[in-house]
Amino acid sequence: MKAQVTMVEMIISVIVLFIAFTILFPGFLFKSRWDEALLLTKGRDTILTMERTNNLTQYSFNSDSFQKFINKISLLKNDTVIWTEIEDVVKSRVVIACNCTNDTIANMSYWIKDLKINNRSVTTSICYTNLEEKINPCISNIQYPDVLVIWGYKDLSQPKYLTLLKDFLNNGNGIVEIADLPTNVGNMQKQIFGITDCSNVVIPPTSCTSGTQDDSFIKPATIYNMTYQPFKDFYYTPFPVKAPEITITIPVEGAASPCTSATSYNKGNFTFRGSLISFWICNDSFVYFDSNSNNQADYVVKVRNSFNLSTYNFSLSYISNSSISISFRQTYNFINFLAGTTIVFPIDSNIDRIFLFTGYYTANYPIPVVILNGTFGKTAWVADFSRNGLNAVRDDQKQLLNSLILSVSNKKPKELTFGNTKIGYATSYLNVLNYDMFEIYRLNLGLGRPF
Amino acid sequence: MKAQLSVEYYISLTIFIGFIVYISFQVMRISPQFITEVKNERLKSEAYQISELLINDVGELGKRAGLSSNENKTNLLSKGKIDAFNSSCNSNYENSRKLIGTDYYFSLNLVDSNGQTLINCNSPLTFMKPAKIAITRIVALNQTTFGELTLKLW
Repeated sequence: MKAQVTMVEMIISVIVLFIAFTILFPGFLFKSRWDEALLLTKGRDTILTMERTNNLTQYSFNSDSFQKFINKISLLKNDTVIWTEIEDVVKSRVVIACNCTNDTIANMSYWIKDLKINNRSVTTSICYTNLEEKINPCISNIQYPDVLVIWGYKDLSQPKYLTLLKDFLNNGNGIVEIADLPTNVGNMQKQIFGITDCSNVVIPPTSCTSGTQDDSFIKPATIYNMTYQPFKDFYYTPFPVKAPEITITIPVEGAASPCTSATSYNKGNFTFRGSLISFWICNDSFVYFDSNSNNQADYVVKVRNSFNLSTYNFSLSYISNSSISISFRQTYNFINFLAGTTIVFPIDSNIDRIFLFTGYYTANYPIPVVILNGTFGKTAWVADFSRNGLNAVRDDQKQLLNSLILSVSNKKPKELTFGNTKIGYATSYLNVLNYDMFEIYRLNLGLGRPF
Repeated sequence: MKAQLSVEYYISLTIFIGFIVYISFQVMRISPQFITEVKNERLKSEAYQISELLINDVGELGKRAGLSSNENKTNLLSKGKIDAFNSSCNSNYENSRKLIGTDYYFSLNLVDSNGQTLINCNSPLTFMKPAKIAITRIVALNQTTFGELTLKLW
């Protein structure tokens, strides 16, 4: 019996020893991670080569050009999965869901069409959304659009709307509301847009009356001001003014020399404040303006040059076949478009959130026409400039809307680009653009292996 | 009877010897692999360093190879240095090896995006056995064209 016990002990000891040895001396595994290091090197080399050949900007925003470049590199042809992402800059395609009429969507699409910033095209995908259960993402593979536009006042004070809008904002997206507000503004205006009735915050409340002066911007003191980005977007984003009419000649007068470069010319109207200025596109370098409204061109402007109309300063940024892009220059004022019934103020009395104002309720209390907010995400409320019909909206107001949409839009990539890669690394590169306006963006180039 | 060894003793001794043999075999099996891997690591490291020096070092005439342009921009090569290195290697491979500063045999090929070969510097071992390590770098050749530089070591 004694020997049997000893044998059992021995067998147990052997098993224990084997297990202990397996743990103490594991199988030989040498991980050099050389493949991963090579992937990182390839990513860095690719971006640097894009930069050195002066094509980084083009490849960043034009996927076809980038693909052609990649196709020429045999090193990246076979088993490498490649993707790029752009961050911190207006996307090449801005997705906008609009709680508005189809007519409004059609107009908005037309207004923003042919948009170019820093020599790159920015397109928009605009679709209708209700606000009942979810916000229409407009395109597949994303949860939310980049911007939600709410056109017209809606009483969205119920908790379900607030929950939906807060979640939308928390995902980095933005909301623009174009509406005249009633007295006793709703809970959504307070929470999402940070707006309350003037009489709740302005002292004395009796000073809460409507403004009549021209609408002026409050110039942001620093780049940290909430108004900095829309201010920059308004003044430096070229606004595409359409020239749909075809004429055979350009009638000229005064110092304007005749334009004979083509057999037909596109004509359009540039509208701002109370002015309607006709213009003709002579060629890809010159535009003829009718500054005195007698249907004869008297003012010739060269592309990339500044010009002055009705004492306001502009710059001619781009010329295409059927549109020209005009940048507004400081200092620009709007004819007041705030409805007399809208008498509101930032709920926290923070004047830095007022982007556009028309005079003062009383000293230090500007009458807001546009209020920005950043409590849950970027939002902007603007007084309804379309209350007299969409056809009555002027180009300066369209540019204001444009700047608000661009400034609140989500600037982070949304689409899943990593895909089904076993290993993958992203190389980041910061690039600066300054053709129309100063922009810093991050290019992420990802390289991965599927197996 | 006392002088006799017990069965347990024999079994224990057998197990002990078994473990010693097991460990010895493990060490004998692992050790060469480990040494090989370490050598490979050194080779890979050297290949990367050489490629990095060729791409990002401006070099020194007759003393040190470097293809980087004098603009001091990473991954931008000089056409003049590319041509000079190619002709130098094709006329005197050993001298090029000295300029690169490696004990390994190397081959260096540079092909631009149009498929034109700009450097074709081959090791004497090229046709005898496959290279131990190869690394390909993407480089800009001037402000419009780019290419791929492949370095192999034996």
